[in-house]
Parts: sequence; structure tokens; C-alpha cells
Amino acid sequence: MRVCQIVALAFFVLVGTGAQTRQKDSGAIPDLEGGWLRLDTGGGGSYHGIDLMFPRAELTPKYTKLLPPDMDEGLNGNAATTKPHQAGDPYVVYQPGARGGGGGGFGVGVDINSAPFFLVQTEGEILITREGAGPGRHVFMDGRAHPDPSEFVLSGAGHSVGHYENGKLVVDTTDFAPGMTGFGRGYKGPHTHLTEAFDLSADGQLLTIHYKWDDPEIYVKPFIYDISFERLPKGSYVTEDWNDAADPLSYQSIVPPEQK
Amino acid sequence: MANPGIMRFVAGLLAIGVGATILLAQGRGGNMQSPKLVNSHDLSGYWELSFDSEWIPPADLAPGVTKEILALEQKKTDKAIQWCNQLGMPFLMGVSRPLDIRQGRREIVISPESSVAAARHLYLDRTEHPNPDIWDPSANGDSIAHWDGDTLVVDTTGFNPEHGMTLIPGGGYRTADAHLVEHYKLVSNGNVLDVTFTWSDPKVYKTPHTYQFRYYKQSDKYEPRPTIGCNAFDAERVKFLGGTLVSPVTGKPLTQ
Repeated sequence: MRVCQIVALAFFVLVGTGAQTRQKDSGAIPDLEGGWLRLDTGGGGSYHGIDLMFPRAELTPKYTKLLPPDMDEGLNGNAATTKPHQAGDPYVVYQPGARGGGGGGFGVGVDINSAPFFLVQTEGEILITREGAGPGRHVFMDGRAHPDPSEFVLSGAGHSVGHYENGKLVVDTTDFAPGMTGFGRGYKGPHTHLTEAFDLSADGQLLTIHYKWDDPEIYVKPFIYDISFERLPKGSYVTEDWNDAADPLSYQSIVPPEQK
Repeated sequence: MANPGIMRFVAGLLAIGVGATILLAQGRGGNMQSPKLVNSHDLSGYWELSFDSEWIPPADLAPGVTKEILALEQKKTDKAIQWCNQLGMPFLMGVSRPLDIRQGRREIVISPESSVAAARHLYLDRTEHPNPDIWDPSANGDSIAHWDGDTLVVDTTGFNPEHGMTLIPGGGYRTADAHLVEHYKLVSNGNVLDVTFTWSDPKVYKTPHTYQFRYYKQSDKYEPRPTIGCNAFDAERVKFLGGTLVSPVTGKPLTQ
């Protein structure tokens, strides 16, 4: 009889443990699947205006020197396009889309833009895509480690792994190709870590991503900012972000007019 | 010495307990899978074409499809390649690198490792295509999907006949009226994804045109590589493709 009591106790403890584990896992996974559109809460009004909404990264002197002049300093940051052209002189504007984006990723890296992004959650991977060409971001959820930068093809998207923590999706990305960050005039490299915490509101309609760029060689202190998104309504679908470098209309606005 | 009957009861109860614990911990109820079992309703993974992957018979083209029309479609495709446009369907399903297929609750996303293709979204949560009056036709079209037994059936319409690579394997091309139906099924114990593509378009095909691809599953530890960029303004590349780099604005030759 005593043996039966012990066995029964063991049985319920085992089953109880399993049920608790299941409850903890399912309760800790937010439903992020769907489309998300950035909220332009500050009303940036232009590409640079949006950039100005973010804090400025504090870089070490070595990396501060690597940055191109800011728009605020009189140039547009891309010296190749600042050479003046004469009226009617045909010239080609640098178009990242037409030049292939330089290595894929989330558009051209980890930075979001004004197009919505779309997220699908599976057990082994979270795939994040956006309207437009490119393979998107692959966030591995299977516990794998980051590869050694010396054995990995670096890119703007880097290498991302994720896990769920206290109801948030936490993504760690490293193995970046050297280059500027999308916002705040930061910089990233093979050993930089970007931590993104995807924080879903209680009603599931608002998503805030908390960004933290960290690399002691590059940053005086971690570069931190948030971006908020609203969920696209039920029934929304992906449209085509068409960018045709062969279309004369896409050049119309930058043909220098006659100067009087 | 314990009673053998009680010992058997004890062993059985413990086995049930351990089994139930594993099932509940994994949240799969009675559908827990061992590595050898396959969930025929989950296509998630990396899938790659190989040298023996394609079965493409010649299309039975409609009488109205002339050599001139086919030449025009070839020209559209050449232009899309030269200018690094999004190439869309059916190019997307034939890329040489693995497709990342991820199956969520409301949609399945197919993402190619390509800088000239946008991900496909196969919607599981609706049964109708958007109203054509508000839908902007695209190179990928609009796709809705449902499971019919172990087969995923995908229905795609709403193509843009001017966007991307319009030529279809085996002959023919996609128009605004093109209708594509795909059937996805796991075979070979889940290691192969069999997909049949059937294009219907009375102006292009006398009978629906069907071809078949088989994709091989990659390791779960597969790591996608950065895509190969495409520079529409690379004069050397354009020369290789048989063209000349000209200004889209003036039509005059461009230097880099």
C-alpha cells in the first residue's frame, strides 16, 4: 500500500511538472505574427527629419572619424551625389534598390523603414520580411550560437538568434559587415551586438522594439532607442514595393532645372 | 519481496507519468513527433532545388501566341534582369539557393535568398482574393492557401503582366488573367517537397500547363548566406547581358 502511495505521488508530481512547463512556455510567447507599420510619432516629414527624431550615438574618437559629414553640416552624407550637375545634364542617382541592396537582410540590413514589416513565428525560426525585394531577417530560435565572424559572411543583417523572456521576444544580432547604423549616426562591425526586445502591448495592437547597440570599441556607452509599430488590421496583405531604375519617372524630380 | 502484480502496476503508472510529462512539457498533446515522424501539415524549413528537381513538359500554347508576342515577353524579361527589377513568379520558386518556407498560424511565407525577389505570402486565413478594383497587380500576385488532406493547395491571381520575369518554364508567359494553382506535398518521409504548378490562361494556353519541382530539405542548422547584389548601372554586366547602359531619362549611353 505504501508503495502505491509513493508511486501515485510521483505520478502526479511528474504530470504536474509537465503541465506547469507547458503553461509557462505558452504563456510566455507573444503572438507577433502579422504586419507591423512604424508609427511616425514625431512627424519627421523627411528621411533626415525622421533620423533627427532619434538620439545621437556616442562613438569613440576612432569611429567618430569614420562617419561621413552629417546633413546638418551642409552635405547630404553621400559625397558621390553631391557634385553639382548642369541643367538638363542627365545623371543617375544612387538607388540602393537598383544596386541590389548590398547583401540582403531586412531590406538592406536590420534597420526598419517606412514600409511595414511582416513577422511569422515558427518553432525553429522567426522570419521577418518587408515589402520589397530581399530575403528578410532570419532569427534562429533553436538555441544555436552565433558563428565566429572569421568564418561567417558578414552582412548588414548580421546573424540573429532569439528567445522569449518574460513575454517578450529578445533578439541578439552580431557578425555585422562594417558600416553605419540606420539611425542616430551609430556604427556597427563584426563584434557589435544589437539587442532588440519586442514588447507587445496587452491588447496585441502595439509593438515597441527596444534597441540597444553595444560594442566597447565603437561606443562610449550603449546606444539605446525605441521604435513603435501598430499592427496592420485583420485581412491586410502585402503589396508590391516597386522600384524600377529603368523608369524615367523615377528620375524626374532630380533633373536639374534651368537656373535663372 | 513486493507483490509482482503491484510491481507491474507501479511500472505501468510510472511509464504513463513520464510519457505524459514529456507530452505536456512539449505542448503537443497527442501529436508529439519523434525525429522519424513527419507532420505533413508543416512545410517549415529550407528547401533547395537540385539537378534532378525539375520536370517541365513543353506547354500547349494557344493559337494566338505568335513568335512576335513571345519575343516581346522575352524582351520584358531581359529588361527586368538588366535593371535588377523584382522578378516575381514563377522565377521566385526556381531560384538556385534554398527557399526559406515558414508556416505560421495565418500565413505561410516563402522567402528566397535573392536580392531580386520579394517574399511570397500564402494566406491561410482567407478564402477569396482581394477585390480587383482595389488590388494593385504585382509580380508575385495574391496567394490564398488551404489544406486538402496532406496537400497544400495555393491559388494565385492578380499578376502584373509588366512587372518582372514573365516567362513561364516550358513555354508561355503570365498575363493579368493568369491563374496559377500549386499543390505542395511532403514526400520521402518529409525530406522532399513536391510542388506541381498549373498555369491557366485561355489566351496563352490551349490546355492548362503543368510542371513539377522537387525541393530537397536542408539541414535544420542551415545558415542562409547574404544575397548576391545586382547593380543595374554596372556597364560591364550590362554588356555581358548583351545590352548597352543607357540613361533611362535621355536614352543616351551612360558611363559609370
